[in-house]
Formats: sequence, structure tokens, C-alpha cells
Amino acid sequence: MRGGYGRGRRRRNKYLKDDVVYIDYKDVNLLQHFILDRGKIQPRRTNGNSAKVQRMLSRAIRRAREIALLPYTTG
Amino acid sequence: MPNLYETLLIVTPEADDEGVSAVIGDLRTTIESDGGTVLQARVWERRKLAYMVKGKTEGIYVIIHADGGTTLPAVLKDRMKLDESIIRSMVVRLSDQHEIDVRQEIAERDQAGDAAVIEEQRAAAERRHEAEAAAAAMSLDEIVAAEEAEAETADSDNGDLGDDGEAESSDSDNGDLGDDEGPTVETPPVDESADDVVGDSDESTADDEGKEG
Repeated sequence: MRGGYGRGRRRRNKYLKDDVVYIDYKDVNLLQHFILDRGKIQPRRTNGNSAKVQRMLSRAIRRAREIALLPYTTG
Repeated sequence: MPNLYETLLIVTPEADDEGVSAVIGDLRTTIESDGGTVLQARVWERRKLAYMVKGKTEGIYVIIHADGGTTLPAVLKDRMKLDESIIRSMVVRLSDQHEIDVRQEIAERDQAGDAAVIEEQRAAAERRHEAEAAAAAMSLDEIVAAEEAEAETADSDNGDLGDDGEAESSDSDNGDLGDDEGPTVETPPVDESADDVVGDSDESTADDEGKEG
């Protein structure tokens, strides 16, 4: 396996540290990395987040959407 | 056991500084009347909204951190719904770990910001004094102008040019003062409108209850 992201190699997350304890919903610049072009939350299988991190992340994104910091949908 | 609540709200982009501080002051009293304490209340930033809210594409984000009991979020939300200058709001209880960080951040900000806040209040007070002085000066000018006009009509044949010149200059002074005064004089009406909002909101709650009943 050379460089690709096939089965067996874990993706590293370049935006979040491993020991993240809280993801702020006001941190739009960070959250922006985890939404797709259409505004959807990026799935765990493509960003390699742990379940815990993904939970915090999706909660933060949903909060940010509520207060118009992030779009529900785009395009 | 008090919780730390973070309130993020969007004030309509048309609101000026006074409008925003009126909103903050209103929420401050709401929190305090519910037995909570405001740790900080400040404008976060003016930014573009990710989607249109009540026809607005832009908004002034205000952030309030407050300690309070479990009734506080509901009370705050109810209050914010009644204020028409608030186009969107959210109250969130901060998790234990994050709570400590935020408290620390607020403490640091307080130390840094105290001087700035005091300065700001002083500037506002000065502006108010100036406005009052301008209002007083204008009324004086008006009296002088009226007297001059009377004098002119009395002896209109004498010294046309000189008198006219003076009268004109005094008129234009009045005009300038009037212009300067425009925004400052609006201060009391803004407050009044805030009071009106309170009155209206009370009525609307009454209406709501009526509908429910």
C-alpha cells in the first residue's frame, strides 16, 4: 500500500489534536474543514476522527448552524 | 449550584452602538432578576450570516456569559424572543472542562479590559455633556437671533448690510448646531423606544397567554 487510503491505514487528522477536550461552535475556521462543499458534515470514514471527537465536532457544527455561523446547505 | 451559560445572539445590523448596549442592558437586568450574575457581555463581531435570518444577510453577534440556575435559559430565551432587534439567539450550558477555560479567559479579559471599559464610559459621559451644552447653546442662540430679528424689523431702514450679515451668520450657526444635535438628541428617544419594547413585549405575553387560554 503506497500512500493511498485503502483498507488498513488510518487517516490522520491534521486539524485536531488527539487530546482535544472541547470543540467550540464559534470556531468557524476550524469547523469549516469538516463540512463538505454542500454544507454536510464530513463522515468519520473520510476524516478518521474518533467517535468521541466526531460527536463533539458534529455537535459544534449543529450549534454553529443554529446561530447562522455555518450553512445548513449550500449550492 | 449555578451553571455557566453562554448566550450568543444576533442583533439586527441596523442597530447602532446604543441600540446594542440597550439590548445588552436589558438582558443583564433579565439575568439579574432571575438571580443570575453576568460575567461578561460584549459584542463579539459583526459578520455575514451563513444564511438569511429574518431577511438579513448580516448581523452583530453579541456574547454573554452568565452564572445562573436552571431556569435561566428559558427565561432568557423568552425575553430575547420578544425583542425585535434580536434576530436569532442561542443559550448553551458550557461543559465542565470548557467552563474552567472560559472562566479563566473572562478573568484575563477583565483585567485587560477594565481600563478600556472605564475609558469608554467616560467618553460616553463626555459626549452626553457636549450634547447638553450644544442644546443649551442653541437655545441661547435662538433667543439672540429672535432679538436681532426684532431689532431689525424695528429699524429696518438703518444699516441694512451689517444687520443682514449678522442675522445670516447667526442663522447658519443655528443650522449647524441643529445638524450636530441631530444624532445626540436621538438618545432619549432610543431609550424611550427601548421602554416601549418592554411595554409591547408585556402586552404580547399577555396576548400569548390569551391565545393559549
